[in-house]
Amino acid sequence: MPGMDGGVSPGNNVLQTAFKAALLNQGVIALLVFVVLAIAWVACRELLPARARVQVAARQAGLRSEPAGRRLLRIGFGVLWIFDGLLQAQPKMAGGLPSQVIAPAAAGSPGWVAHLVNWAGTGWSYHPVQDAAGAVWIQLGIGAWMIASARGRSSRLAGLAGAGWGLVVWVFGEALGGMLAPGQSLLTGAPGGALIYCVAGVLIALPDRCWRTAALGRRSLQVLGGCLAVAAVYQAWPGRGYWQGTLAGQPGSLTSMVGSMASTPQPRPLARLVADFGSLVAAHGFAVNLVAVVVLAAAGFALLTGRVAIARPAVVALVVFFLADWILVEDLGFFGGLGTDPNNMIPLALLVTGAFLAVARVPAPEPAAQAAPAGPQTTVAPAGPQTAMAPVGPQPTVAPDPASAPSPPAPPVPSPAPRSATGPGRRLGIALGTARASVVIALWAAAIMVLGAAPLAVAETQRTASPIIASALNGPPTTLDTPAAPFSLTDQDGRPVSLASLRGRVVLLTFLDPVCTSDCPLLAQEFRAADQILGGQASRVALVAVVANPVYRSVAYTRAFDRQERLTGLRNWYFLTGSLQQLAQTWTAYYVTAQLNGPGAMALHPDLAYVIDASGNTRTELNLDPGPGTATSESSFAAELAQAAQRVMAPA
Amino acid sequence: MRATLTLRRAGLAAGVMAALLLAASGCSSGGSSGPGQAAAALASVPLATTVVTAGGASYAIVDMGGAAGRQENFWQLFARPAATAAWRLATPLGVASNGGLVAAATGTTSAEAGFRPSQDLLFSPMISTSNSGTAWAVGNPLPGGLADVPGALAAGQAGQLLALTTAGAVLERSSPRAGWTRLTTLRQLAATAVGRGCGLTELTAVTFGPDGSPMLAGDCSRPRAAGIFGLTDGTWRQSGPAVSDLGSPSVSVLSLATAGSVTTVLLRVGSGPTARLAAAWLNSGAAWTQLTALTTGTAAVRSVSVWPGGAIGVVLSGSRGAVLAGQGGRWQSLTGVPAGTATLALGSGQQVEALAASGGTFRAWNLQSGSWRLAQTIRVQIPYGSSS
Repeated sequence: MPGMDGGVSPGNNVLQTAFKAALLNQGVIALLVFVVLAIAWVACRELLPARARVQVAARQAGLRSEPAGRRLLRIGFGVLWIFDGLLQAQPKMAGGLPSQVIAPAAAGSPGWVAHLVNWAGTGWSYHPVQDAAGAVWIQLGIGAWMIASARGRSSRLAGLAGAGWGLVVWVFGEALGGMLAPGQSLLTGAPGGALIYCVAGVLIALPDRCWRTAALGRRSLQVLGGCLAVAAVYQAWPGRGYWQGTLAGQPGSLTSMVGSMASTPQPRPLARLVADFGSLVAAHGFAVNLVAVVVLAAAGFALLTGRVAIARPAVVALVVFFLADWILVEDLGFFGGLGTDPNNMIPLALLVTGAFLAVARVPAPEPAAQAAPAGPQTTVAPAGPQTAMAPVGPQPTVAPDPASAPSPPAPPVPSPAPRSATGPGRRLGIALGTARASVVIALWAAAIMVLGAAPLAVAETQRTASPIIASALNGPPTTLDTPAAPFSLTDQDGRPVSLASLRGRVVLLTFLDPVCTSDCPLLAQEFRAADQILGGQASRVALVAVVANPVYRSVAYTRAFDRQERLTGLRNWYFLTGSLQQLAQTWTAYYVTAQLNGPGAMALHPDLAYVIDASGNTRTELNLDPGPGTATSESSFAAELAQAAQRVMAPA
Repeated sequence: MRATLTLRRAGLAAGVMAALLLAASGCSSGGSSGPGQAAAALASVPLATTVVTAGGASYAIVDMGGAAGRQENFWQLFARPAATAAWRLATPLGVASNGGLVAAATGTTSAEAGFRPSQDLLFSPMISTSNSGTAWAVGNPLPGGLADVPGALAAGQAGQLLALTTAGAVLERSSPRAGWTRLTTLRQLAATAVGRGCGLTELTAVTFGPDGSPMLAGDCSRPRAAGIFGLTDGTWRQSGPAVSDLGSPSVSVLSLATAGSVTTVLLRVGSGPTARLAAAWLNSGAAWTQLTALTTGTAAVRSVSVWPGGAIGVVLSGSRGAVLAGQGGRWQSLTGVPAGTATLALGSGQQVEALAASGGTFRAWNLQSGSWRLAQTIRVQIPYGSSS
């Protein structure tokens, strides 16, 4: 898939080190934020008057319990998001996700899906460290926020955040869960775990009143039942290879999937278990698929009824089936160094169970006269002399003990003190001081999300790839500080150009063969791109190439090369040549060899560049071997060149 | 009742979902569909060929090495000075030859060669020799790149050159140090009266006629004559042998070349089992004289070489070949041509030679008394991996 392969192997040391360093730095920031929040919270609480504390406790006691189904979804998916965030921190993620995870996910999908995925994958390959680190903190933040916030607006926002990020992952990372690619099955991951995270997030984000009746749970069960019935139809569809364990000596679809999972690096007992199951499927593929079809169809139609008595055994059977598939077919989903989540079975099990609980354990309605107000509460400060802080304004709500019965109504609160009596800072302090610990954790979790999302968003606005890729491919630039060797040659317009004539400008110097068929055109484009990156600073930089071919070195050939590479309009571009003696002296001075190779071969020369400052000193040497010559590596080399020039540029 | 309604709705929802999913997956392709293939080019002759100068020096172009798709093939040039028996490797150094080589005899012993573009190189480096490839001098590059036909380069007796580019442009260079100027293009020629009349679709060769004026060969969709065009007084005229003389409306020009004072054209006439090769010659001021004698059937043409005096050498598929000794001569069919034969050459005493290449080994076979005898083997150090 074009663009997605940055050309760097997932195990590249430079990339992994940079990724770990980014995580560490951001982790320190996250810790600092937590410490600051914690200190502020404790301090504000200590300064609260005793009466305010009593009012807070009473208010909290009056809050309604969270519905069981919602609680299961919230905590279950919160844990999953945290687990996925930790998986995202595996060292290979930065360099391996686009080519090893995203690209295969889009294989077989329609062109428009592949285009979407390629766009996202290319963005990741351009900024692997920022994107990989961002994904870690976003997912950790969503998980912590979901777990910490049990009710109210904060909890719903957490659900929305989960739904939003789940949708992003499902579209751009899972290629719509592979649903539009041939051969997909619920057993092997369709419709994509991220979609289920998204659905759970939407459910969590629903208003509290939706969870107070059985309607939501019933609808959810019916939709799930319909989906399972469709999955059963897919599983049973002939010609998709699921009925045969082996087909004409080749493994069937399910056998093949299990076999590939068994060969993933993982603990040996698990690998043996999965391999043994693979053998069973190979020998009895029809029976295995029959069981799957029957379970999915029966459970699906049972859920479609929406009735608790019929759905209960179906839910139990489904959870067992999902767990079995998760272990035996999906092999827990996250081994191999590039697993991003435990696949779809655990989230499905949570969703089905949560929907069932939403029907089976509807919270008992509270008496209307004694119903405690839900949502944000307002309390007031007592009149008269005030202590340092008194609670005014809306207060964050807290979750009561979930096992408790509907609580007695909150005690009456006095009228609020006039707002003008307290400033915004004081109000913030009071709000913080009266907040529960879970609210502080939710704030911290939201901050972590921003910690991840902000660098990621900024990186995506950059049109050039990160120079880290160039360093990963060829090593970092070498710092020098020696007088640059002089040269006096002829440019593509026949004019004499010497290093001395370029004094006052930064010189990016390289060596190009005008009749080269591979590397040199790439290097020329990287120089052109570096010029664009420099923008207004380009006038202070001279882009200089010296011919590196002892035979094809005339001005006619440098001009032909310039036309070919669209360099003729670049005012600060110089393609220099001269007599063989002049060129040989220049090559020697810059440690370049340009020699003829065998019959029919290009001339041999190294791909490198020097950065010479305005005073004529060589400050940097860069290895510019384009390697795989991908769009990502080209962009990264261009960025590296531009940065190297900017580093030695004197302030304007 | 309510449960029944619920079940019905659920069933309907499931059915709609199933239909949607089936339709969506049915619309899915096995991968992103790429653009449609361009129309296949009309059959053209491979680049392998031999060129003989007026003084009898020979140059042979053969493809050696590995697979072209992996940039592991490297076209090589072999040279043999006049009155000598041995070939030697003479490929000019300094540029990759994966895209092919085209050569034209320019004098008694001299030749001009051009490298066809490959990978990211989009123009053709040009180089010439005056001593059978012992030393080379770089010429001005050809913008646009030489076309993928052996007749893409032609030399005139006054040292001028004609070149056919991949974009269908015909460029002219008046002298070795001069630049290239545009003579015409496929589009321009196709828009002329003669071009429209024959339905010109492609240009396939360039040469200078016996009178020194440019001549072009091309493929026509409505040929009344073989697709050969000459430039007279600034106007292009169709000047090939008439179709009525050839006995078939299906005519394509396989080769058009001038060696010495004779312009030779090799035509493929007819199609299927009755397809045949017809040679015709043009001398200064005269009309085309032609001979139609060689039935090739469905055999593919692997190489065409035109030699002084109107002689022609053809390699066909199925280990076959044919040689025409010269203007007015008869075709001599060759069977059992050695495996890997890329092109034919004429040795001393008009002895037929088969030049074969396999990997890095070049072999020259002589035809003696009806059988092929290995005369020479050259091992070439193929620079595998240098272009990838």
